[in-house]
Amino acid sequence: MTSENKRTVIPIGPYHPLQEEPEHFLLYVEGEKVVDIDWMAGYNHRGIEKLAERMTYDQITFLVERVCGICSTSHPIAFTNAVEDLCGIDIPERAKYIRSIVGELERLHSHLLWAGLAGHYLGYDTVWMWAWKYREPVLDVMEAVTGNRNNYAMMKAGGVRRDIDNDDIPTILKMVDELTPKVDLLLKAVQDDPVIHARTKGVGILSPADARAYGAVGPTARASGVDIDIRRDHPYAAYNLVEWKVITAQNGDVYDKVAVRLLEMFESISIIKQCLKRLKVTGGPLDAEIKEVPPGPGLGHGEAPRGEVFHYIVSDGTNSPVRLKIRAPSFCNVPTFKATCIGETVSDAALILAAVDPCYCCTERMSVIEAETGKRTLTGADLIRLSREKTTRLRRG
Amino acid sequence: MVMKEKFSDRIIEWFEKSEKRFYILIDSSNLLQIVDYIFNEVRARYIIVSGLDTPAGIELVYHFALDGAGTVVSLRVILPHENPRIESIASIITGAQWIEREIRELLGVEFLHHPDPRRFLMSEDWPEGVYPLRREK
Repeated sequence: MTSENKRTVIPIGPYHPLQEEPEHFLLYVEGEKVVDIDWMAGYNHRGIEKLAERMTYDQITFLVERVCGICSTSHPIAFTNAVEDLCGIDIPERAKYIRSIVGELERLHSHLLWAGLAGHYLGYDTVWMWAWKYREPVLDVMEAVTGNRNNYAMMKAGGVRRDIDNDDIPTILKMVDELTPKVDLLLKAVQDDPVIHARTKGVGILSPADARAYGAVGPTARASGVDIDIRRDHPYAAYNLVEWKVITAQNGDVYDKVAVRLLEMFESISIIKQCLKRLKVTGGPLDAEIKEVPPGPGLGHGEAPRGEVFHYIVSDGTNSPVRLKIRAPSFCNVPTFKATCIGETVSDAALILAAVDPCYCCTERMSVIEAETGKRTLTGADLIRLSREKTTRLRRG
Repeated sequence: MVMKEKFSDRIIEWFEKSEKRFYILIDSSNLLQIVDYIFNEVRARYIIVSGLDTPAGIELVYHFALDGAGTVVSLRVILPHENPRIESIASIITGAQWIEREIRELLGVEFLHHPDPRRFLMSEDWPEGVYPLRREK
């Protein structure tokens, strides 16, 4: 056997094992300035909408849970909302609280995940490690309550698939109580750090008009002063049964996108605590029985951590839909890069792209092309390095 | 709704699924005018466009949210199976150009005056004229 035969080749990328969803951006630059950006999708198109046409409504809740690994419960929530809209039914009160609790726990772990990555891009690896350490107890609670750290399979059309045991309520309460000061710490670190201000304030501004023109949703839109939140505007689950407020900011820059997400976590904690309190005293069934799905259209949405998830079903009265259309929030948030990146420097581009929370993979597959003088290619890792070097310069300066 | 009277001669079918869900069938030639009204005057929020192959033709559903009222208004147009084409709404709503590119590839609808009609989702070696969401005859 020759030495060559002993070699093992491990291909990494374009479908990198760490990436959840490969995507491709082309960043056109002149010197340090970004002059255009292009987005190509479809690298990981799994044909989920087509698959759904061959499954029953009950099976599809499991299928759509796998659209996204981070906000995995948002799609089942939007889908079940759509089925319930189609059937014209309301779900039992206990199920409403359980849906909101799971939805908000998911928002907490998703925002913490993002805060960690944002720290990493900025060159604050301590923030990265800490934010992800704080995220662990949330996932532990998810595992205790639903049986899984992710992909919880809690939703079903008409209600929820399993109960939250009243004996588990103190555990969840203890976790969110302990999380509050940690989120506060992260928020203060962002508010007080002059280097973070220098890196994020006035960078990658999305105007309210652009947010509307691109159909931006979630924290990306709210940071630009667009006061929309599906939980309040199109109430579902228990969001109209508890007190909370929609967080908005005015500047639309990276800083405001950070601030909105961190402040939202306090609201999530408050929603969870109120729902748990009500859950204790609310009995009753966990689901309303759906005997038949009538023909016709049904649509539902939910506020995922990244913004509105939208599901549109067309039924012909059988037990499978004729068509299921899914729109994830990133489909509308990602194109806003055209409005936010152009004119900015390459070292800020990675951060601006990360600020809409499009998942880490998006920045990993980015080519940089010199618009005037031939071609050169930077990888996502190069962009993160440029971003981190800028922070180091600012710290020293 | 005001719209029902304003465009009464251009609405083919008005269907209220519930008090929060409106489905309005219009002719494709009136699309731009009505989308402009909904987006710029009513100030509805653009959600997405859904495409669907039905026995009657290729159906496009333009979803808009009236967030203040918790309502979703869906404009429906039905295009013929042979050579389906419709005006792009990207001149009114910038963000719609990507879903139009997706629908072009998955359902074979041509969007007229689209600002950037390049391939978006399907790989480069995917044959022209094969549309995954079209149904077999």
